[in-house]
Amino acid sequence: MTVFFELALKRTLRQKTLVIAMMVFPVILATAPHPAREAPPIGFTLYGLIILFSGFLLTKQIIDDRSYGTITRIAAAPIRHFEYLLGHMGAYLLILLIQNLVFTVIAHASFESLDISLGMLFVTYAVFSILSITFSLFWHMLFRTYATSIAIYSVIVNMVAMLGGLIVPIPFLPERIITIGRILPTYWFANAVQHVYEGSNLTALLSLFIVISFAIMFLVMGSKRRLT
Amino acid sequence: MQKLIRHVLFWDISVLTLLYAGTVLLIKPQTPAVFLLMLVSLNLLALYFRFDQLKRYLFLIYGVILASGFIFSEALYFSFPFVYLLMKEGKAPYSILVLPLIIAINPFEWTLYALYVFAFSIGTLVNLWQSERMTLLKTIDTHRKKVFDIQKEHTDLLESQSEISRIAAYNERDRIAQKLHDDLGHEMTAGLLNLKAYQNLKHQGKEKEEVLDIALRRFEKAASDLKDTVHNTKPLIAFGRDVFDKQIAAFDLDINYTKSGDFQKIKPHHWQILNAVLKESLTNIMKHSDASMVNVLLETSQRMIRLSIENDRPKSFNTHKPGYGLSFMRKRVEAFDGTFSLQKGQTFKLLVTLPTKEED
Repeated sequence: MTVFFELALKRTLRQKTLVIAMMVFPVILATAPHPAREAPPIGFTLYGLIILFSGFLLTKQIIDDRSYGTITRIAAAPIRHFEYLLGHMGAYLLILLIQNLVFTVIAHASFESLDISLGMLFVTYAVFSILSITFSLFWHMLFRTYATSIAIYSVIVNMVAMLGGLIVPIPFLPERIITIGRILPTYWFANAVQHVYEGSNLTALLSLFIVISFAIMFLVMGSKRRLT
Repeated sequence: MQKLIRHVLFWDISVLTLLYAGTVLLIKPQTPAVFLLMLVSLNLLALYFRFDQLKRYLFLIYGVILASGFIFSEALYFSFPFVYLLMKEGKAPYSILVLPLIIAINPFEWTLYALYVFAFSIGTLVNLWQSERMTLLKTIDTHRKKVFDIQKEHTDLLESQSEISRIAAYNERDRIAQKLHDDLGHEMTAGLLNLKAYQNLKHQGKEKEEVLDIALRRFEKAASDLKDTVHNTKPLIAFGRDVFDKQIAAFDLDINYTKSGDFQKIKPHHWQILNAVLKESLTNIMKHSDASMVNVLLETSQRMIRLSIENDRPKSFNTHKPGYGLSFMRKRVEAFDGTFSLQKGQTFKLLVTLPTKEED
């Protein structure tokens, strides 16, 4: 719990600008317009991009710990790597869940007439938040410094969001792009949101299982301890 | 790139990527269920590479994938990465298990056989390569251990040399003490007794000249024994300081030789090291420098002996790797609790210190 509260949660909450930004953007997106009836409101899928960036900015601590050598000190302390990882990921997930809750509640209130399941929407974002954290963890493992990491991440994530249907809703994506998009977790998240919007919750769950599978894979690869 | 292709992980990733790419192109997973199955197999692979403990359960993972082939025929495609891994680990019998399933489920799909042959053959090749690599690594390890053992024996020998010189000094001291006691001591005591006897006889007025002669002969014998003892103690061949001086005199270049302190403090085993260091240094100067000037300084103080050898114009010392000569010298000096240092700059300077304080 020390890792969860002292090392991760408190340190993150000290970054006031990040916390405020994380709460303001969802509010703006939750009230974004709903131009076409075939797809959910723009903000519903676009919020996935916010989750991806929020997860990345939150996990910045992990790469900072490595680049400033803090991880070496932590490794010398009586804390197992598993505890370190679990504490950090738990804290980040908690913050993201609060963000998701804010978004879901406001979005649900804004589009009450659409009759979307509030619970399923929240679960969808929660699962994608797990993916966002594990993917960021994996991504940070590939780089030594935060500057390089974010520079490449912002390009890749925007491309992945475009191909996966976060920016342009799936019903309006060309078939060829969908074929490529299927190998990306963002597609399955957008697919889940689409099914939640359409009310077919079971199909949405299947898509969420795929997102979880991606998350597990990133976690397995990204959880390897690196001291440098 | 050459380094990369020597790494087995590179081949693992390449082969697995090819197998998955081939599978995706062939079956074009459209339904979420098949896509999920592919992700599960990928997850299992990630777990296999991430946790060493899971490597022993590879066959079980393979079994699960094969079993799911009865529900989704596409699952057979996802078993080929595991066929490759099983072959890589030399478990050929297990990898063949997929064949009856192909025949039972989808016997006319030639791509399944093609992918199987690909995974099987590449896995076998990697296995052979790895076995050969392990044999080579074992040989390298054996040789490394041998070198380590030799170095250890070498260090032990150097350490025992110090002990042997101390024992030799004690033995020599014992021999001299025995010689002084047995020969010289006896003769002097007998001579002294004769003189006392002569003195007593003189008091009694019965003095005899023969007693005085005997005493005189005894003292002459003692003096002769003393000469012999001293003569036998000094070695016949040049030793210690003589050798040091001779080396300096015989060197081709002019050496500016400065000495100070009490050289009696330098023990024979110290001379042995100093001579070896001087010899090696002078040889190095001839071989690896264009020296025009050589300074040799030998000084002793209360607690230490200091030898410094300096020459100008060292030749390409930056590119020249230190050879065995210097490292051997360092070991010899350190075996006697001394220090050995080199200073490289405009000149090349070697500095050796040895402690003189020893337990008696």
